[in-house]
Amino acid sequence: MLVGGKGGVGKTTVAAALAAASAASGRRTLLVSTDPAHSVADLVGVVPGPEPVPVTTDAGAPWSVLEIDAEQAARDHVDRIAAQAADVVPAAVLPAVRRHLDAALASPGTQESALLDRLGDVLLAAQGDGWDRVVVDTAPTGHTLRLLALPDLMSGWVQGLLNQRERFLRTEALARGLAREQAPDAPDPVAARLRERRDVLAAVRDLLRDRAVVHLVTVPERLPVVETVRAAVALRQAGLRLGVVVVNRVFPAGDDPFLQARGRQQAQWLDRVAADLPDLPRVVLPHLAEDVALADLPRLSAVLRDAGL
Amino acid sequence: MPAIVVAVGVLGVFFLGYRYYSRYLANKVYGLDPAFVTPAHQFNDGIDYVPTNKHVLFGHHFTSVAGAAPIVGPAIAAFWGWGPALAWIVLGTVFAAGVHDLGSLVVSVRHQARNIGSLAGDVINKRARVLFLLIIFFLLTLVNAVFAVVIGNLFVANPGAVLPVLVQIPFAIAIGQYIYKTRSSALAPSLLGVAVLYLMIWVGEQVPLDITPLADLLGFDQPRSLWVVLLFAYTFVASRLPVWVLLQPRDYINSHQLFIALGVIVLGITVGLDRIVAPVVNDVPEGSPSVFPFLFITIACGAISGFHSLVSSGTTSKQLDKDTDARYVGYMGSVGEGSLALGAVLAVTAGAAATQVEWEALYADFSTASGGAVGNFVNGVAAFANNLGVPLELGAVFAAVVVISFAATTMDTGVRLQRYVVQEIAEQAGFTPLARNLTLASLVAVVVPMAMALLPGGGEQGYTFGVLWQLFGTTNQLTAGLALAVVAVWLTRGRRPTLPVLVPLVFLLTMTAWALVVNFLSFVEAGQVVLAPLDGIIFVLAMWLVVEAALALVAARREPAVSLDGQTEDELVARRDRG
Amino acid sequence: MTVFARLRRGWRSLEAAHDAVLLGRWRRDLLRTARRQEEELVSLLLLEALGAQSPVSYYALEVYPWLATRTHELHRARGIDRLDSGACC
Repeated sequence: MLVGGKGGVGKTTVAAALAAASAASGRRTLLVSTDPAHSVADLVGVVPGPEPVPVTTDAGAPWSVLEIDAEQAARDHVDRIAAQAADVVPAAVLPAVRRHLDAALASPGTQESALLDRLGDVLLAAQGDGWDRVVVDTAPTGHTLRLLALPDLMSGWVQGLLNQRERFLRTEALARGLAREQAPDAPDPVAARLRERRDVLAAVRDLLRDRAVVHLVTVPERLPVVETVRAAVALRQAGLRLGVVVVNRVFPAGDDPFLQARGRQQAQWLDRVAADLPDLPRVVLPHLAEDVALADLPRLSAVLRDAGL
Repeated sequence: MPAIVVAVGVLGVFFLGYRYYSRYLANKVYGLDPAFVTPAHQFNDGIDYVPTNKHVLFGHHFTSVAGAAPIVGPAIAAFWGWGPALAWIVLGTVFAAGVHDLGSLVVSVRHQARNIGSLAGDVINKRARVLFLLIIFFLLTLVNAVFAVVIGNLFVANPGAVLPVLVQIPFAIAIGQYIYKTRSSALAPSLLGVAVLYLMIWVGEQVPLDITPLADLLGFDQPRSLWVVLLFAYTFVASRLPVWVLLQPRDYINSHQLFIALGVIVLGITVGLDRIVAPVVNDVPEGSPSVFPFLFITIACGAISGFHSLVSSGTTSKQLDKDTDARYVGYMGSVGEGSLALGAVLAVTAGAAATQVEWEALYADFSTASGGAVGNFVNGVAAFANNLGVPLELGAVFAAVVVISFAATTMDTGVRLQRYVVQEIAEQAGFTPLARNLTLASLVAVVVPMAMALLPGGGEQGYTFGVLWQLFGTTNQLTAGLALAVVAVWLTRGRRPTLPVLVPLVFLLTMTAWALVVNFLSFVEAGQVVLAPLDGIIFVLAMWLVVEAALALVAARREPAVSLDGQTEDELVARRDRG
Repeated sequence: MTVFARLRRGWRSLEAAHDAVLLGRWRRDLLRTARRQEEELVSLLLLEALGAQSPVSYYALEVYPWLATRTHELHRARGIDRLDSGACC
């Protein structure tokens, strides 16, 4: 279950509430934060790390939280490669390899890829690790979209690289055949790695397509609504299943003229969501009087549970 | 005179040429240096640049340059009698081809194994590179046109050859697959394969494939034209495949056929003691092309061929182990080609006819001679094979299969080369759509020679062929001329003896220009709207070459002398930097 | 040495000579094709190093150590001493 939406609409709150709701219905639940703003720590009062940390609330069953540190993941990845390189690369080339790896670490795409890579690992390992449900608090919308479309794009790309490598290996084998040389004992390490990568990426792609549900969070205002509609279309095109639209921070009805005016305005945007995404159920969460805290989660998760989530 | 005596005599002269003249060339002219670090060592990459044993390298070189051309030219040139034809083959091989093949190899080795086109731009000037591209364009266009006609004629005359030639294609691929898979030596399967191929000759004889009805149905003027179209269609497709898929396996089978054909000729004339029935000097009918200058453009490959400089430079030069090996590889390459030409002359003068009267009918006039030349060669080889107990009909199909196979792989190679030439000319001319599009370039490389091959030649079948062949000869000689000019300029800079290069250069250019002028006048007279301008363009290229060569030589003479010995300081520094 | 052994040895050396002379050009073309295919792969993988973003550069890094050695050799053979990114040599 993935929770996405524009920045500042309360994704983290909704994700945490969903996790609480899921835990309350008896599922072993893991909340995964990918938001670089570390907002989950402020909400749940524990500092999540790369390993799951339990979160206990006064009411309801406990659940766990984990945060992916993209920077650390990228660094680990590069260090692992550098260690491998030391075994296969002649000493003369090693400094050049190290330079190249360091340059890659600094490039902007690397962290995003590292984030996705780790997320893929967590999702693929979830069942084996005993989690019934994983709730992912994603980074802001544009980012999420790119992230979710990537496994599909990348498994195709890696397949292309693998094809090229296999073409090369076939030709080389023919040349070896002519020269009456034996085939090498060990399989080609490059092809083996590319194949492994392709399989993982394809598994993540399939998992996202077949088992993931994306819930979109928005608030009843113009920009967030417009963007949510756009995101819904794009995510569907990418082959992802959509769950509900959570409309957060809806004002309660009241006699106050200000509240009444806001209420009318919000109703208009709620109608717009209904009109543009008629097939998606809507769940309305109230605007709380104070900053949301861990203690508020049971109330919000009760609403979500009532909505069948 | 028994053919074997002539053969021994010619081979004896070749031997003396190699023994003495090539030694003079190697020591005094080219200054081969055993200490020179050849590009094969300097840039050894295990693929293109590989120091190779000189006998193996000679094998690569010879099988690359040997083709159908040294068969067709001499077979036509026997028209003037076997004396002039053999004299030009012997003198050309010893004093022109040897100098040219060895020279282009050495110049390339001394310039990081670059090819002759880029050397022309470097040693002469930038314009010379464009000139080179244009000459090669016409050379390849004409070679593809004449070989399409040769193959078409042979298929029409020997319908029994169609099946074996067709079967050869899957066969070559299958042998390749077998060698790849089993990692065994290729010798036994290849011998078996060639044996089965020759069994197909017998089958082909029972099932001749004559396309005349189909050609009539499709409205072709003659069956040959349908073959020409089919051949170019095949070539277009084949040239789009990677080289190793079809071209290399076919070339490989061809190499076996080359050695078998040479063996049949040598053994045949030894066992049968066939006598040469053609006159030493033929009394040609009035109005025929004269020996001077036409003999010298009719026999190009076999006496001197510019095509060899393309193989010497850029390919063979990358694999030369020692500088001094160049003498053996380069000079013997031309001797090998000369020997093939010798075989062709003997086949058409001793094998093709039993009596002088019979022979004179085959070579009655130039049109008959050129049109029937390849057929005469085929029948001649059949007669030699007959001495060894092979039935005449089978021998003829065998020889036809050999010539067709050679010509077909030459067409495939030619189209591949031509599309790069087309792309580069387009690039130079700033015409990017053609320069960037390989399919379009291939189409140009196929359609232009096809149009040329289909050109009706004044009503007589042979006329077009003889004329096209001579035009091909002129472009081949111009290519050789350009390579010789490069060698001469390089030698002049080093103040080395240049006469051995200048004499063949001047002789070739004179004969070529002379022939082009005579032909131009007769084309204009006959109202040949395609051949006259084509001849004119080639003449302009020839004059351009004369001017560039003369200017470059004069300039080189004025420049301060440069040492050609060993590596230059820059090269050694570059080498050290590369580690 | 028996006649048979002598014959067999003669045949073996004939095979070796035959293969060296007649399969050399064929094999060279295969190796050349293989080299081109490998260079294409290396170029794709190093696109990022040459300034273009490729979506899999993160995973390309994994196979880089194996290809770096080859790239290094290729550049030395070609006389390219240094790529701008410092990715080689």
